[in-house]
Amino acid sequence: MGSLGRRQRRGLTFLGEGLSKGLRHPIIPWLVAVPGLLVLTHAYPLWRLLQRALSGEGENIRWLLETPRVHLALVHSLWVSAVSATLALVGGLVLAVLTTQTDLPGRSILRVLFLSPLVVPPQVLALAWIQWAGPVGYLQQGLRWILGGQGSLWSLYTPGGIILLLALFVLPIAYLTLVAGLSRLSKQAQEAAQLDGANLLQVWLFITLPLLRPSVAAAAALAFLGAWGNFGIPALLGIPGRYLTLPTLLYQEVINFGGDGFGRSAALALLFGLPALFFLAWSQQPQAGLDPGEAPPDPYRLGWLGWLLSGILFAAALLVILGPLLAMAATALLRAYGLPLVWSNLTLEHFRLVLFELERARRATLHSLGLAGGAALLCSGMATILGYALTRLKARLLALLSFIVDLPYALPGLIFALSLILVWLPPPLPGLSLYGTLWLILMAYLGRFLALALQPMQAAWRSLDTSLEEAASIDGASLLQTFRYILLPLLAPALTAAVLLVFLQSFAELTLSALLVTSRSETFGWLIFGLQQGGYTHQAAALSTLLVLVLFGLAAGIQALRRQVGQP
Amino acid sequence: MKRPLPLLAVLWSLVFAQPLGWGSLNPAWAKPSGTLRLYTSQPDADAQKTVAAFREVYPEVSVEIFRSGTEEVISRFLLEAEKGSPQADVLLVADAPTFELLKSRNLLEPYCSPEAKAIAATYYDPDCHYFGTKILATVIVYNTAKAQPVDSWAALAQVPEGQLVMPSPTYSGAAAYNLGVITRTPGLGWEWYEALKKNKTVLVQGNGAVARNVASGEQSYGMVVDFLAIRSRNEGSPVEVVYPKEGVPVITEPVGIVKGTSNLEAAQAFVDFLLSQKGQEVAAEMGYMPLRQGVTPPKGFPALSELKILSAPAAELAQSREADKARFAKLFEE
Repeated sequence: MGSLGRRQRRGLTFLGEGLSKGLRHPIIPWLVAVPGLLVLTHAYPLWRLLQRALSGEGENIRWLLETPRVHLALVHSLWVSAVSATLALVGGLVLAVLTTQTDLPGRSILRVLFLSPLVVPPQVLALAWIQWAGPVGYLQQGLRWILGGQGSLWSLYTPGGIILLLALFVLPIAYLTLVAGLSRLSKQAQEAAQLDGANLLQVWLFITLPLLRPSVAAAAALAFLGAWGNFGIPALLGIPGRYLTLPTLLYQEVINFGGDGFGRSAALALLFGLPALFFLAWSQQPQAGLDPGEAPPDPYRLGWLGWLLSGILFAAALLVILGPLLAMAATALLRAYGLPLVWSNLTLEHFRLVLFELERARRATLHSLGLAGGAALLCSGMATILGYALTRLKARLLALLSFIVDLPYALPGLIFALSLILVWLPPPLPGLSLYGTLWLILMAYLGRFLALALQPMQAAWRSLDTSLEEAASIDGASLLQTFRYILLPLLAPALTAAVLLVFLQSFAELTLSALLVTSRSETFGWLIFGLQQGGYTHQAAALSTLLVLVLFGLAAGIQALRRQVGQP
Repeated sequence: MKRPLPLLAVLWSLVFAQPLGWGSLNPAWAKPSGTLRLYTSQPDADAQKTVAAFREVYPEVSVEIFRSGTEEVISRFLLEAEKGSPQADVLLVADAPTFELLKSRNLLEPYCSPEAKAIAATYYDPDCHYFGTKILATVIVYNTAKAQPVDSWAALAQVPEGQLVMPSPTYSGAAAYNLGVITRTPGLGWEWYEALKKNKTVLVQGNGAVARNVASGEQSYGMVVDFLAIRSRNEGSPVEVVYPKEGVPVITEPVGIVKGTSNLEAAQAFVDFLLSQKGQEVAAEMGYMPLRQGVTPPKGFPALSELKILSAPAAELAQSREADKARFAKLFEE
């Protein structure tokens, strides 16, 4: 030590102090704990999948590159996902603006109507759609009766049908993400532009949309990835339409038990990561922070236009949401499939059965409430910390984390569940086996749905200027105080979106459950899957109808509470 | 040690009686107990009833069920087996070719159940690796409001264009089984599937969708597993079922014991129970066609002796399944 000069010694001490001070920083343990958990829920399962894909001297990769069916499925999937995500984004944006920024009549009803597809499993939703708008569905029957004539007016078993349904399925996700972004948008810039003579359209195009960019990017990513990994809709519509997509091709390979079907499907899983990479690059573009909005400004007054728009939206909701939901309710009420919808054919028997006779329903509901609640809280907590790390620490390597988080969401549930089996089959510690327990399902939900929380949270952090934190820290606030009193209120809309999205999606989740649930760990989605898959269509419809009714009831309750408190 | 003889007798029987097969003859002291892990694709309510009836006879065994779709159950089991630790003691799922595949990979524990005596030899493996438990025949279903009955597979290929629906063999194991059997049946063969293709037959993911589409009238005819169609008819849907005169391919939802099971006794008891008079009656009560002689089929099913069965060697079907599926996918441009 003696040979060291004074300055060097001082430098070293400073470094040591800085390091130990840095390590004592209260956020550090969290920054270690959260990625640590990510290794278990995301990185390791994906790594095992990659390993499996590459095993066997790259044979599976060669198959992937050389098989025309794979290329066809890839092109089809890119097409339907891109178009449906665009539709959902545009629809979500229009809805988000109209329901949060204006005095649109009936906006709270519209909000919950367009959110309701979130709680219906896609398999059930697609079936409801066939009953509503399929060749012998209520809508086509009605139109044929009015217009006369025979034969189908249109077919759902086409790329168009798949796109429409996927768009409806991901619309609520895009909508909630955008609402979170919009609700804390500053109006100062907009008002300034208006004072300078810009018209409403110009303000929107040149001021509001650019400010909203992080949320738009997040919504686009979630909508695309949600459509990209969906199996239920292309299976129900694409198989009759002979329209091969990546998720259906993956299913074909998974059940190829004679050969190395699992290796091939693991290789296919690699393809599912491609768009996640793209969105990663997109969302890493720099974004100007902005000042937080003050108290929410008055909503735009729409006047007669509001009534017109509201009418159009209600008509659209009737056609694409309420119609299918009513068709589902009709199935739940009909005595037997295929009977005409007349009074004498209706029965409450299926409801009675699922409510009182299905022995496992109560336990499954409790399990799912716990799992969905746990997943929602954990995901949004992790997403808050990860979002902070990703936007503030500016480390290149960290960006990879957001890719790893997106990937399981983009994968079909089937293959992600199989990769979890690979990881958790051997007990991690002797005597401690998660396999077949609710804990494994919780891990699965964390893995699959973290992206739904991270995207809105990242967007929220991105649009929060660091000046706030700096100002608070200069004023002597601790990190926790800064978070609690400054940041949390500003992050609240995004957190709400994150909690809602994860909770609703995991409550009715069914593909992961189909592989991981045993008789000790039933979930609600597993119940619906079992009924649907065993041919008990009416009971599956009855359960889903109950779920939608509960959602409507909760929404109405919240609305009533708000009214009492005096909030709009 | 005052009375060593009885003690020695007990010790002797513990050591020797087991391999001699006395265990199953003398349940008084060799009662199966512990946990039995069952992997099955039976609908949940049916799996529950089966297990409840089993536990009436063997109350000391607690049964843990993993229930899912056939494809999901097999995928999970094969992956566990690949990792060297299958988590099931018994499998009750799918069809004979699938069990042939498991047998060829040395994943099954042979056990010659004494109950198999009352079952026709076509329904189980001669080496005792698996036993059929019920008869799930693939039949013709038609919508009574929209169509006239057809009585044969040959006639089914001639129905109006686009009016026939069937599960796709690339997504449904049951349909893949039918594909294997029918393409090996003289008089039907690949030509029959080519006729279906020409006739714009609609493909769907599984049997459930076929039953729904025919009941709703989206298509007039369907090729479907009989119990779904009969259940749908009994509920009041406008459908009727025909057992075609050429015969029917049947899936037997076999039961088999997993090699390396930690509870062999309970697993063997479970196999015995499913094949026994009681077990077969339980299956019939749930609306499945039993395959034990002397058990009455449920309402709407033909008598066992009247059933004409199309079949092919299970081992051959297992071997050629992927090739058959690939040829089908090419034919139907799936």
